[in-house]
Amino acid sequence: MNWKRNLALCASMLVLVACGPSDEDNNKANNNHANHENHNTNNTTANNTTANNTSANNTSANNTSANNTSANNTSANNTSANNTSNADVLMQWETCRADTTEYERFEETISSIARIGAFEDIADLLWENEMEIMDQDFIDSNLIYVEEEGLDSRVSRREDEHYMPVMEGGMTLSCRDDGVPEKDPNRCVGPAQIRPLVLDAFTEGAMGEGEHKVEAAKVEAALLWFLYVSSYKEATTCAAKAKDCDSSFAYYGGGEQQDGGLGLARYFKTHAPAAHDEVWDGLIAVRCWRGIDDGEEATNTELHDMALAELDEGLDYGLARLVVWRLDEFDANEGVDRDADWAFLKILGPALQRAADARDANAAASLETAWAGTADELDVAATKSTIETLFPAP
Amino acid sequence: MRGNQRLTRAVCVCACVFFAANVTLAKNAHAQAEATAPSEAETTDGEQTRVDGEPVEGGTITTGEPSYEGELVDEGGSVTTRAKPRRLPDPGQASSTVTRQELEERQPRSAPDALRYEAGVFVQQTAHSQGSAFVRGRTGQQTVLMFDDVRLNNSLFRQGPNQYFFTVDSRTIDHIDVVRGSASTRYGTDAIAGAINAVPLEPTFDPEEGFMMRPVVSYRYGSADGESGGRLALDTQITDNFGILAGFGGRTVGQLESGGIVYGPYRDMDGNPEQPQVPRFEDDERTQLGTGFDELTGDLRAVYYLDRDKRMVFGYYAYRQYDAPRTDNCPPAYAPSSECLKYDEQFRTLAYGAIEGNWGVLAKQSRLIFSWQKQHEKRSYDRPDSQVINRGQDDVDTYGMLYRATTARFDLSDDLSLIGRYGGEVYRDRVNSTASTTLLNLDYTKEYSRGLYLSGSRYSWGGLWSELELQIFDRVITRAGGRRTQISAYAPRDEESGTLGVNKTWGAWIGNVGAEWWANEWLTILANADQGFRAPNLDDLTSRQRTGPGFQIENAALEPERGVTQEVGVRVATRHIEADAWAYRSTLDQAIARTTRDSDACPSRESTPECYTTWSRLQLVNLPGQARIFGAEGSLKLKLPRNVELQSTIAYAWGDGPRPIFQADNPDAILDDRVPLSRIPPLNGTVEGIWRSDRGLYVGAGMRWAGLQDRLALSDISDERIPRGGTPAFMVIDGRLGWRFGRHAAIHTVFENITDEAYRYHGSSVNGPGRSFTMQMELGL
Repeated sequence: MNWKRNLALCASMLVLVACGPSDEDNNKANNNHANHENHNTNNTTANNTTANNTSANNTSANNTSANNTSANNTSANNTSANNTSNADVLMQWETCRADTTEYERFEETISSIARIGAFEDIADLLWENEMEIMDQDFIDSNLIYVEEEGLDSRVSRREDEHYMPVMEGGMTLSCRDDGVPEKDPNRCVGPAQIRPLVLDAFTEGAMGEGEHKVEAAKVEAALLWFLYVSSYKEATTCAAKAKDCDSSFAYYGGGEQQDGGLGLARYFKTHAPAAHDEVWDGLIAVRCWRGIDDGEEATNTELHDMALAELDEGLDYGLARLVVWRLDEFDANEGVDRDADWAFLKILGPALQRAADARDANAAASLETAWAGTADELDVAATKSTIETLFPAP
Repeated sequence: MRGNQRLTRAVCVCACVFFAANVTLAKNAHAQAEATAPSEAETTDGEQTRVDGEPVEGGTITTGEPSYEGELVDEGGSVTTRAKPRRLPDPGQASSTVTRQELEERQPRSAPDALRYEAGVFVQQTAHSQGSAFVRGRTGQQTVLMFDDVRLNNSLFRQGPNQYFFTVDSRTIDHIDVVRGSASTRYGTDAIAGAINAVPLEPTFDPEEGFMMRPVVSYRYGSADGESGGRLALDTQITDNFGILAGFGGRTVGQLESGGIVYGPYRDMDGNPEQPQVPRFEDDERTQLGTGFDELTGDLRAVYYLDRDKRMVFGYYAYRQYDAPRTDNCPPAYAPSSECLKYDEQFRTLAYGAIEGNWGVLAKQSRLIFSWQKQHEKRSYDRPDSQVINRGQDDVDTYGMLYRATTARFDLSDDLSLIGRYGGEVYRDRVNSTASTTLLNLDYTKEYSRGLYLSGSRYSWGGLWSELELQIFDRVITRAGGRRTQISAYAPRDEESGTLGVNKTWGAWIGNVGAEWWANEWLTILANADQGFRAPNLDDLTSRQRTGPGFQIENAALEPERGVTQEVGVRVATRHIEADAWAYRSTLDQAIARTTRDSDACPSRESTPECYTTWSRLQLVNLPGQARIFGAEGSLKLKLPRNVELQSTIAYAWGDGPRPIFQADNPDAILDDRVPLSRIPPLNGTVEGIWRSDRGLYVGAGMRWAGLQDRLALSDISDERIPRGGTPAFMVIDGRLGWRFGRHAAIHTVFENITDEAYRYHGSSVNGPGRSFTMQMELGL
């Protein structure tokens, strides 16, 4: 019978030593494939700031939300949206917007700024190259584009938040997964549409298979499309992660304030100043919302929607103005410059389609027909008129 | 600090003087020592002789004195009558040994995996093909890894976990010694938290035979990852004093099936748990992407006995790992699933020659080793959809020489005896490192001026040490020792990448003291203090690399970190119980740790664009305050009647340090602001029970558990390997069944994770295997 006693002793030992831990957290849940630009779940780069929270940039390490970092210092009183009436919150938001002239970051470091830097470097090598564009310029641009954690890394995962997520069998699919981009190229705009355009243009440019200016224009248009989509996307996902607001701000203007501006902001400032102001107001509106709705996850969807709509309106208008600007260029240019303009329009024109459809489906259809045709078939005046009707100045 | 150094120097000088004085005594005592020193292990029927309090199997008590000649050493099934040096666990320190028998019964997947049941050791896995042992809360550069006393640590060892102990083929190991707590005096730089020494199998000697050849073939299969592989070994006795053990092995390992997704404690606003981004799964939500690898190994060990107690050894051990993805980057968090960072080649080649044995009372047990080691690593980060591959290759050649000796025991009087230990070592690294980017769409490759490291870098380190052990009244042992360490680092300047050159030398005196009190026949109380020292290595000083928490840039201005470990322990050894319990406090001044940086700290964008584009950029700095770890651990082994054994371990560590924030203008402002240290293991433990029949059959079970770890360092929070909010608790039960028929046949089976728990060791990218079995068969002549 000794063995029974030993066995019992073994069992007792097992139970005694095992009773400490338990794993009550391993409950399965739906696989959430949310595609987040800034993937760090908590605020780590905030630790890079100084200890005294005297300015919005000086957030404490524990400050995973927007505590003490409201865009408007006067409204930086950490008032939770939950504890304040809607009217008060609205007033607070409006006050913040009125008083705020500069975007104040949630975090000191914004990695997206480097991607805008990469965009500007590629611009210098290709479409803004004052010398003749060489094959090597496309190679160098391609190298910049595929830098680790660079432009390509984000293009490859970019989803257009204007469209519903890809669903299958009740599950949300991520555009980063194999086979998903083909299911919905509009939602999975980065991997399904923008990335192939960019890589093809680099290849044809570097291999000498296409006109350098034309291929450069394709890269330009595709990357502007990416910046346009990204600015909106980050402002949307900012509800879950406050620092995504910073990315929205960075994708639009490269981290510069209203009087500066790189990337998309540089284009808007030059070719659509009203759009630049509108987008800037939208960014501030988003920043103020998140400064007030400062939990780890935002709760005030109403305010978020209002801010987002303002930003979206500005971005759509700006994009429309860029298309109009390029239509004018197309009309004025000849030869390869005209071909380059057309290549640009063939990409950025259709990028405007969703916003156009939302405004007037019939008018939008004519635009779709225009982009589907050839350069010679394009009625510039009519197309411009349609766009200006669909996207009036704000 | 200055007072501390003075004290250290005083201890070292005292130890040296004490030792020198006793050299004279040694000469006089030579004859006496030869006549009286009971160097052999003694088996006293019921009456236990104690020196060092180190029990060995079967109730036999081993003397702490170097033992060499005439012993019959149990080789885990094989028998040899040729003596070989008994490498005792470090006397007086917290230590444990994984025996060959345990290796066979537990069937670990790798050398690090073999340490999972050791007290105070917690094994983290960044990839299925990697594993890093945390000893008392520290790993990587802060523990010394050895193979047969030859250091595996080189100057490219990274901060945090590394994969290099995985490159020791567990099938070539006889046993693994683990020393917990600072062992810097004995093992030199890096041994701040402990030392792990894998001791290889030996050829068998049988004086009854002349030439003898014994082939052994084994095959292993694992269902969790489809592992399939084996080893062919040839154990050859050429003459009765010359033997060779040679082996060749290989395995192919597939994707690892886990128990499922491990969810962290974080819940979103709807109350749903968040799925960690690492690892990714196949559609079954069990099979992990970024796992699997192939492996080839080869080894040769020749032993030639010059005399009964002197021998020469030549060892050659080659490890070749292919196509091993780094799980947390295959694919990286949030990246397309086609992207993968993979180690195309992870090689280690070690060759060494040793002369060892009894060379008189001053070198009763000694080893002189000359070694060469090459670590080769070739990586590729493949992004097929983007038509680009980033490649890198790092090679380091390490040339080493080591001498280690223990004297005979000198009886100074009836109540006083003395043993000395001393040694020294020199190692030198030479580094070659390259990096490139290939654009597949353009068939174009750009070579960079530097890789992770700088080609032409060199790193040398060495030291001399001695330690004296005084036994008083057969009740008390005291020890004191000292070491002089000298380290130099050189790295060339690279203008193109904006890398500063390094040309630095550091030296340090460190020391240790310890005492044991044998309260009675079965109880020993111990206390130790050991100073640790680690100079920054080439990885700290020059590397630019992607790490788990972010992109790390070099810091050529780093200075050494210094620590002190104090520990007290209790050890119980009776015929039926072996137990020990330790509590420790380990501090580290000027600890080298990662701090976050903004992009202004980055090198030029042309040379290191990823520094700008990563969300978290990091740099190693010397923290201005003190990092500390407190902890306790214990183990208990019960030897019950009818060959039943039960053993259990438990360990806890708690660490914090200054917040690693760089404030050049006000460094004192953060001294009071302390944060948890990175990847400190949670409360964890094991329980094992086994019954072994006299005829080779055994049945057993093991359980591993760990509590929730939600004390996260700042870098842990941005580390995708750690679920949001922390790593949840787990409990895993394994069953074991096997049979060994002498040396001719054996079958070992492990039924792993019987309850199919979804679990992950804190800090790992890989979830543990789900319900599965592993089987190994062995046939030999």
